[in-house]
Amino acid sequence: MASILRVNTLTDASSNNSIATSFVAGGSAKAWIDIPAGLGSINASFNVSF
Amino acid sequence: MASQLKVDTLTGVTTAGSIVVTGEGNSTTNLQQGLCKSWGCNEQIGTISVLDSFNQASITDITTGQHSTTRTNNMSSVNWTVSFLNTADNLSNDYSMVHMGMRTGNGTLLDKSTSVVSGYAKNSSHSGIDLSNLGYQIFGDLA
Repeated sequence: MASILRVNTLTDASSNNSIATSFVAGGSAKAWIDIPAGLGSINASFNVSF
Repeated sequence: MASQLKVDTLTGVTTAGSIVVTGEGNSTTNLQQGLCKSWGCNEQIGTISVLDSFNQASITDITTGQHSTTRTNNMSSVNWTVSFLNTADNLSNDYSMVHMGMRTGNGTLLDKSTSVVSGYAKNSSHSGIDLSNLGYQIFGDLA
């Protein structure tokens, strides 16, 4: 079943390596693409519309 | 109310490797797809060394301006993308407009694999040049 967690901070079980979820959302790449040179095609992408 | 979730691993329910994150606005993004899978901040001047890195297993100094790194956890295919640090210098043309990309030979990638990414830094004279704090970031799918 799909679920939603509403939290402000993520941290590991030892309370180390914490990160605010605002950094997860703000610091993640929103789009990327890999295009091989000269081939005019696309190898892989994320959130790119053509 | 502020809240804190303490976990060691995040895994999707419907698809293990796909967790939706609400973005800054109303749109959503994908946690796994948006994460940088490997990055490095390396010193190439003098003896090549690692200043800091994530998912970088090793680094090799190929020749002036050229280096390669390997991953601890490999990518799933060669279809990933990388960005490199560039520099500009206000004193020396040798360090001005340094541009960096994956090594190619007549346009064909020489080193790109599920583990290896190489970089070739050239200055405004198109001469290979070693960089301080040379950096890169890889995005794509982990194996």
